[in-house]
Amino acid sequence: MGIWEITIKDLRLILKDRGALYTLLALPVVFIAILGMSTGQLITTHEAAKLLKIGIVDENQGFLAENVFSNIAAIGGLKAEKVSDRDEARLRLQDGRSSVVVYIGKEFDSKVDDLGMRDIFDSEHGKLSRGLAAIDMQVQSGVEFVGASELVEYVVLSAVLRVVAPEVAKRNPIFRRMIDRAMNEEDDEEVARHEPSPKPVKAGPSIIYQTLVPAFMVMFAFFLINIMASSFINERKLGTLRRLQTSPISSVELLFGKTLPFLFVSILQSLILFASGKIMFGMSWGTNPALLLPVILMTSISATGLGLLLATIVRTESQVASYATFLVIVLAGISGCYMPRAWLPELMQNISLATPHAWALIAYQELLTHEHPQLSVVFQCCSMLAAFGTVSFAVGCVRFQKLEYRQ
Amino acid sequence: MTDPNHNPAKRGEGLEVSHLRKSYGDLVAVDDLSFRVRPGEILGLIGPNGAGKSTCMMVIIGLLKPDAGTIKLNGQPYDASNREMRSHLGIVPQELAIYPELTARQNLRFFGSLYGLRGQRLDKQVDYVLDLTGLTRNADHTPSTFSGGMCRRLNFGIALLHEPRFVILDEPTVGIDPQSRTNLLDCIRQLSAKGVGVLYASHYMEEIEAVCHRVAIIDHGRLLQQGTLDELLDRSQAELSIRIGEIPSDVVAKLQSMATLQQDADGTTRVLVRENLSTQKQVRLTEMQSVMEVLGQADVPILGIETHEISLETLFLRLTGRKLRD
Repeated sequence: MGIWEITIKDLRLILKDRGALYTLLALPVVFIAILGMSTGQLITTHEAAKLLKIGIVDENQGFLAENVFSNIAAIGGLKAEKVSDRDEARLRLQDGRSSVVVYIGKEFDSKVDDLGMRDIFDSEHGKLSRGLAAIDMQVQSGVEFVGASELVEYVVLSAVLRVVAPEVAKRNPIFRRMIDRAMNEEDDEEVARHEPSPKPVKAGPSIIYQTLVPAFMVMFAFFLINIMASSFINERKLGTLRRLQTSPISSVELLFGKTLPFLFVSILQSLILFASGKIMFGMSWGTNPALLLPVILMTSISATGLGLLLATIVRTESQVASYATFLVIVLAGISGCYMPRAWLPELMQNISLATPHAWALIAYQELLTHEHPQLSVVFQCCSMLAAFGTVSFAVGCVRFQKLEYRQ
Repeated sequence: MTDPNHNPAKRGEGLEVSHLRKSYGDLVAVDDLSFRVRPGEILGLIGPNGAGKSTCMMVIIGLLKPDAGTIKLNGQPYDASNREMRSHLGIVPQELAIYPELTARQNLRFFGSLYGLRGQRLDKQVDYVLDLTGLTRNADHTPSTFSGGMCRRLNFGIALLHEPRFVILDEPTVGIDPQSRTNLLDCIRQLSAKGVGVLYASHYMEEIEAVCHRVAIIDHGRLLQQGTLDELLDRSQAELSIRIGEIPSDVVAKLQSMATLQQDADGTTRVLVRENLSTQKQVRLTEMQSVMEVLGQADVPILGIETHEISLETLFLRLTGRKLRD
């Protein structure tokens, strides 16, 4: 008795408060759209930044040199670009447009022609034991990637070998026959075995919102604590809280009644954000969208539980403004709402587990980015969120019952 | 107001407060306070700001825990966690405890439903209260469009929805027009006639005199006097005052030893005889004669001699003093 009446009354008050409705329902969508267009690009830029940018100066312009370029370009994790000349290559290294530059010299063809089978197979004594210089090639890295040139040299060498080795082998009649036979017999198998080159990271609008929508949805779910605490302050200011406290309902019923409307609003807010994410921004709901519902519910429970706890701590509007804003911003920052959690340092990732936000984000990440999400992870996250909500609500109840009304 | 036909309550009936004490740290807000509100009786609780009235009411309705003392409702210790006991009380807080965004009817329906009223009974009670408080025509308007008096009436009506046995009013008429005040006082009389006990805290002495059967005057948390209006005012009876012009300082000293001097706003001085609230019922002629002799010897012009009955306000000021309170 009483819970439902208070819930309906508060829902009615929330519906009449257009400012609160705008803040809770419309603002998050606008916020995500704006951030998607601005800082959201960082995510795609960051993905692109993960690729090693290799500039290739092809002074040889021959068929083999072109093949070498194609092979390097097909290596996953690299972004190969042709560079016109050495001066341009130096400039690119300086301004960071290229991480590493590979030079294919004019004598590349002739140096390859000079290679024998021994140079290919004897890595200790063959000509290629001297590295790429043996075939008039050179690798140079920029300041940011000092030390990477040796690694890149090995990678490029392997690409060169894939091109050069068959050419050298063909000059030997025995090897040529063996190669021809092998090519005929295993052609189909070879095609099947051929692994496609890794796809570059998809960089489009959906990947931005796949990250942004859940992150800001979690942040805005906890934004609710501000309005929830204000609702309590308002009741106190009006004197209606005293009426509620003296009516024949228990404190727990009163607090449930005050919490439920915000739980409904929080769930509605999350559903609207997911719907907006899909309709407006083309985000995916993952392979099993139904599993998002328990995460949404538990996130809302933990947010409203925290809201209730805060409501029993603060006494004035200014306290609400400072405490709630601090909590919303700091917890969102710690947990990784402002950027993908993977970008956070490991220590920070561990610290963030003390916040309910982090568990919500982990659950959403599992459901939205994994083709086969692990239910155990989602269950663990939901349990943690439920625990946060329950403990906060219980502490809030105890605090509320101990509060004495003072003149 | 006194009610000669008022029936004394049966033993144990009513809202009984005994030796109540509540302090905030070193500040004792209520100190050994005892009184009783019988069914159908209106008890006026008066005291200056900070006297402890509101704290006393907070303790009674269970929002504050007393340090000592007991509260009994019809002989049973009052337990604020007991829903049934809570539903015997109707509370009219000092502030307007209503939702400005909801209409008068929505406010009443909401608070009525908290007291378990449903369906037709809720409709009936809401209509009854709207009629009683004169808000029927404005039932579907929000309080933001109401005058101060209408808001006060709604605030009052909410406490009556569930037909409580006792109603506690904390300054319910602050800032309202005479019409609304009259309406509220009439409602309180109607409640009393129906057997509802009323504890009425107010600063307005004329209201207390108009509706209360008994009055309790408190200050600094302590009960100063308690009784019917007749009892309280009989104790002081009439007072005699001699209005005089300017007086020499040596005469002032003489007069102060036998009477009380009071400076009026117009510059004249008033010599109050029988200012002391003792229980004697006759004018002390000897004291009067002594004062007259002193005035005659000093050639002090006598501007007039007046007698007047002591009002509740005069009594209140005498008991609580004229010093401003925070």
